[in-house]
Amino acid sequence: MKNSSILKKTWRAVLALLALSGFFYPAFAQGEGEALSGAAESAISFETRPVCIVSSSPAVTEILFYIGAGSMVKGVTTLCDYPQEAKDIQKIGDLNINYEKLLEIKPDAVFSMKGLRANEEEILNSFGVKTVSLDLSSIESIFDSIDKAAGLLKAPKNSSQLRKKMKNLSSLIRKKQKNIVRSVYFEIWGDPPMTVGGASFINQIINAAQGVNIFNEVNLDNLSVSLEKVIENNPEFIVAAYDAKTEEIALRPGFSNLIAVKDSNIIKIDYNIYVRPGPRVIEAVLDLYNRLYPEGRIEAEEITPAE
Amino acid sequence: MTTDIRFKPYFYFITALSLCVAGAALSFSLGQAAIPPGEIAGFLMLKSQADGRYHAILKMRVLRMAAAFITGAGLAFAGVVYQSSLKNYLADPFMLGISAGAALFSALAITMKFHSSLAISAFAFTGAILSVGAVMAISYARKFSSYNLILTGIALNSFFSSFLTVVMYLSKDMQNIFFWLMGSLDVRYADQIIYTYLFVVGAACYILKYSHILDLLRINEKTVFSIGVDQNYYKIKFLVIASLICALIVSQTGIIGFVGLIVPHAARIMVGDSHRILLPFSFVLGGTMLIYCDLISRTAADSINFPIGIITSLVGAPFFIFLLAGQRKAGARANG
Repeated sequence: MKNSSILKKTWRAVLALLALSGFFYPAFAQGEGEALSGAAESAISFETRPVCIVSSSPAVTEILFYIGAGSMVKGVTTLCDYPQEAKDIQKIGDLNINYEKLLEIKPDAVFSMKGLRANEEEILNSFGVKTVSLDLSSIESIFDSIDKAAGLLKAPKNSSQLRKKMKNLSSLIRKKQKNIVRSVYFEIWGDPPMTVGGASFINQIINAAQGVNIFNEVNLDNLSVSLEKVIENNPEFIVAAYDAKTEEIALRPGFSNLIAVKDSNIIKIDYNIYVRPGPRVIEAVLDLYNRLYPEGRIEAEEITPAE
Repeated sequence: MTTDIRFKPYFYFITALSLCVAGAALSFSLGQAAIPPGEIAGFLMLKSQADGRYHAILKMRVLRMAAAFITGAGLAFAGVVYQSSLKNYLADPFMLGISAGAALFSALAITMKFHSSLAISAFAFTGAILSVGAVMAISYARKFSSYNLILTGIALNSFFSSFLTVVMYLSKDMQNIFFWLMGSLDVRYADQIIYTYLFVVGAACYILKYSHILDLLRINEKTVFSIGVDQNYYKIKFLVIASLICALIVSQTGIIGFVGLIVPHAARIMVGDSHRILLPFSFVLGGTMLIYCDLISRTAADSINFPIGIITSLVGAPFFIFLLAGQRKAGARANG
């Protein structure tokens, strides 16, 4: 009897807690949303032009250097390896930020990639550091973010050249490959086989390069994929984004019948430029296009806009 | 009701075997790709087919199923050997550092840009063997006992896993290391599977020959000594063989937890402690369990394979708790 009454009490307590949390949840959620948008608003205006900034992601570092604000960058992550100059800048952490190091720099603002870390802005704001969050979720938003950063920092270069380049590339691709779309199985790891889904950034690169990801209807970033589905969808190209042995992929059970294997269309690419949503995204699109359509190659000079 | 006790093991054995066959049939006919029954029949009758894709998929399912069975069977078998040799019910095949060693070495391989799955397997196997060897050597140098072995194993395990974390943290391939650690039955080559079967079945048969000594090792050490069995000799021999089985499996599949710990216990509850029956039964039960877990992992969601290691715990734990509860009730009834 005693046991059962304790159980009942615990059960009631759990229920009460659940009910309470349910009651407060909307309030919490709302509060968070407001705080975030508020922070974003306040961060966008600087009284004086900032001279000391920190980048907390490799893609953001590339953007800051691209717009010509590289000399203002006084802190980067250990993962920021492009351009070369970024490697010599003071490090403030990797995926985890070392906040002491960062505060020591006393930056006017921290430029971060939206969604990379859960509560980076909140923490930085609580230390009184301004934050600028750049949305790098699509090719278009990369260009917008470049303009945003360039405007805030009054940098010499904005995205107009990149936009032109991208436009040239897209129209050239459309002109050269009118009715063809080649199917791609994009493998980011071999065992277990992992690929990218429709929600990934790479999916957009594949689309831009006139390809179609055979797993684009799966609304995920990465997925551990079923090889049966790969065989069933019979891709024309297999793209390996790691140091795979292409012969080994071809030898996988059931793979010998794939178009990609029969035509020896297993290709390896440099993963870095594909995963980094920065100014080099056009290079990635061009690179993938040239591999998917070697007969209709486009050279980098062809898309460079006339000065 | 004395006859119950004698027939119970056979009943469970036959049930497990039929479940295994049923699981194999299901595994063969179900999957991500919808294959018309006609094609499946054609494949079974060895008819050739115009579009080779269905046959390729079916062949892949057979390989995968074979891999799943031997993985589960080997881990469960080794689990029994570990538990009995070490006289510890919490022992599992990963206790003496196999998983940590394999994980660390595969992480090193991946960091050093050996991304071919065969190369990673070779590294993982080396790591597993080295760590078990180290645990045994260290505890043998002091005073060889189960207690010593287990403590050394725990220490080395945590040392290796911390080292693994450091490697992962510093490596640019963190994501890939993580993928490997999840465990997978995906990419299996026919000859790889055949060699694994030959080795695991051979090693299992060898240990089965000494099942009476495993029975002895579980009882009081002094009694064993007085019978005249050199228990350390057998202990080391059994542990080395079981470790080889595990190392071979882990190097190919990554770390699939739970099977090696829980299946032996489930098997004990069902068929009792005599190793002559317990060993082969665990073998079949472990293999069967993994066939079903694999089936779930690759059919639960469209286009996605869930990591097998997650499924083994997710499905296995409730089943085991159910078994435990049943046993308690049965015990209460017997006592009362």
